[in-house]
Amino acid sequence: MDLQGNVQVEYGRFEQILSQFLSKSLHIILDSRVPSIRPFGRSGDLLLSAPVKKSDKWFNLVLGDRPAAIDNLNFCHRSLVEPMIIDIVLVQEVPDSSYEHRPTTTLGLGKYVETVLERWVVQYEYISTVFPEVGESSASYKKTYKKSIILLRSLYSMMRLLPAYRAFRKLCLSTQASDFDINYKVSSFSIPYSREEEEVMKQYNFLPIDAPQGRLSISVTYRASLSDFNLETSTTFPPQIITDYVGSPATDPFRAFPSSEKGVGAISFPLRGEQSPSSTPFHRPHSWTCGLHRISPLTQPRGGSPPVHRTSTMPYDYLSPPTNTYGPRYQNSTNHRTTSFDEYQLSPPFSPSPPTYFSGGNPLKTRMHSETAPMSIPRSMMGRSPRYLSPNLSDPNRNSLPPFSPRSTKYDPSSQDSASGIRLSRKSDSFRAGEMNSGMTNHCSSQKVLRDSKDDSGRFSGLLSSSSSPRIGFSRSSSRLSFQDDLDDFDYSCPFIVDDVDTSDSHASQNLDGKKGSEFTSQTFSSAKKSQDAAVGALVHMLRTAPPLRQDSSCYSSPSSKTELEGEVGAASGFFMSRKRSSYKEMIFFSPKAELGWSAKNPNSLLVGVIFVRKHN
Amino acid sequence: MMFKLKQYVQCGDVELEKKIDEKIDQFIDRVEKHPNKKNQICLSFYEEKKQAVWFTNRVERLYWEQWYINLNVVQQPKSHSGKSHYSKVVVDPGESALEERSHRRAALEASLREVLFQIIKFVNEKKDHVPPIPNLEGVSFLYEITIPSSSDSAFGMDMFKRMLQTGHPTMLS
Repeated sequence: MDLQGNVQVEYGRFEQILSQFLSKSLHIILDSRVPSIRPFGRSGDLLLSAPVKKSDKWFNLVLGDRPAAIDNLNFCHRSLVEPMIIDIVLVQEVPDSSYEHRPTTTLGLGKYVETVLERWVVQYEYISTVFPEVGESSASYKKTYKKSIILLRSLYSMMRLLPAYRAFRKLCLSTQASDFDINYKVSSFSIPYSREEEEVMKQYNFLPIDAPQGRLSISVTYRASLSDFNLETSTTFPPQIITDYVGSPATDPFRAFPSSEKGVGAISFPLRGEQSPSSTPFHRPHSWTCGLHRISPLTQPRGGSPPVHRTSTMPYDYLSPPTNTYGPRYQNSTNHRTTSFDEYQLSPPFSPSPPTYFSGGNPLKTRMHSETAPMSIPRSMMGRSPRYLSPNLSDPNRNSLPPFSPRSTKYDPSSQDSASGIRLSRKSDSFRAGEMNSGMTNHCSSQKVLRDSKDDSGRFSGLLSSSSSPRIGFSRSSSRLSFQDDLDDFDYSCPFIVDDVDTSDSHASQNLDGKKGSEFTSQTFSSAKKSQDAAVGALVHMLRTAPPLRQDSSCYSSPSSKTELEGEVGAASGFFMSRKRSSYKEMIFFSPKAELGWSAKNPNSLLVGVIFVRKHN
Repeated sequence: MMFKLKQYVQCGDVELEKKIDEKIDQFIDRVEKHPNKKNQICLSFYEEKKQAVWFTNRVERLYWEQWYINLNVVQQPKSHSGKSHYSKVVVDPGESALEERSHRRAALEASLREVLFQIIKFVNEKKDHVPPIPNLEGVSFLYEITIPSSSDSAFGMDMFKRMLQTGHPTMLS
């Protein structure tokens, strides 16, 4: 009969409204809580110029493109009568006493802890089994639709009033990694709260809307306060751009390393959830990155956080979000890595450009005995100052070097002396102070070598290299003191000189004076923790007793010496590049493993240790 | 309070936000010119109805909802910023002015949030009077923001009377 048919049609329209209501509410909730679900990443800015899709016009509330994940979830929602329960989960990385858990977490702290911040219940409560009159149902679903417009707008407003919104905004606005993340779980049933959770949860129920044969309702239980979680994204010092420094590719084309496609995306952070296609053996737990993350958990790009559901033990229904939810996050993280300076905060500075070097002082000694502040390389070598390759390849003059440690007495953002070279991360001191394990010792030793607190004029710059194979990774820095003077102060001739291979003598000699630099591989010092002193002493001795260098402009030593060095300094082995400059001979030594790490494809950073020896003739 | 209100939820409509900003600026000017005085800003939703009056078609506005936001600015002895009458914070006499100010702001923010909760609750409770949505681009309902002058002390009553005269607005059902 027509009457029956009309009723069916009317009810069909209501079902469509109900389905869209569920999708829209889900979209509103996730769009206001989960940054990764946004099609535009964290910014989530609607492209106002983009045409509004018809599907987005439902309920007069345009939210932008609905993520596929939401459509999938809605599709999976078996029955319109079943409640849709959306858990907004806070994921935090916390230290774990159990060692073996560490590699699984992004920041290397230990384990993930999930806390339900909010639980939204959106449902259609089916009340009556009596089919309404035709006229009644027609007006009924229209009324339901119009009232749901207001309800959804109220929901939209409420999303921004609840405490969890602040956490969401912090995630969105943070340009760097934070130690927490917000994820979601959608299900048709929920695990009851524990008693402790119930005590801290508040409830809010929206007034239900009358619907054909039932009513639509939205309710939420939420944590009244998030102060317990210490959700603060790290505040870092503003990245310092060193526009010129000794040894940068800009001033010394020969030293310019092939720039990575990702620029300084060759960061020292291994994203555990994301591996580059050509990940190298250097992605190891005891690399720089690992330790860095331990000290400051706020430097991990969000893309590295693993999907919540993999670590979750909550028995959720089929409606657990698909892993593609995490897709945008990884993409964003990639973008972040290439553009954010903050990520270098803890990482040893690096760049695909030539390394920097120490000058002055007795780095090897001082590192043993004192916690010295990082040195900066003066700008005095303006004309020839090399430039670090910046994260942004389009601006090669930008420098990705992290600022000095706050404990550094020599650090001065406005200092003219700090232009060139890479400064050690300001957290490097905290490495020593903080919890350390064997994996961290690479940092320590490397950092120590890079420091020279005694010599006020000493300059150094550590270098991290992550781009394609660098025969040499140097950058230069100038020093007020001549190198000769510095040598006189040392008990051993040492490190940290960098020089060109093919530059003219005059140029080189100019730069040689007082210039030092160093690079260190994490691998070089990976096993040198206990025998650091002995290793260095042995190296020095070996270098001193080494046969005279050839007079050629450059040459590579035989592998035999390479092996010898390996035995002495752990993983340190490699090529020797020697050249003679006027009255100096210098030996440049670096680990062959570093070469791999210089691969442009490898986003992971790598420290290349370079030891330069200069001798008076 | 209006500018704080705006921070909480933004509708995303550029024109609307621009208009709100203008009105807020006007309101702030008014408040600054008349300190220590009760100031009010009014948000009205209406329908436009054509009425034939004396052989002319006149578009009349039928207000179906009005919100009055009262703001009392209390001049602080040491600071120039005003605060609403909502905040009543007991402050230790030993606290510095800055701490006191931040306390007041925190209390104001908390009370403001509470007010917004109440607004949402009320909006959801009373929906039957809402007229059919006119399908406007961006903003769905016709609205106006007015700042009654001090001489309009009976402004609210005038509106009420007008509503009574024109009859009930179109009901949803």
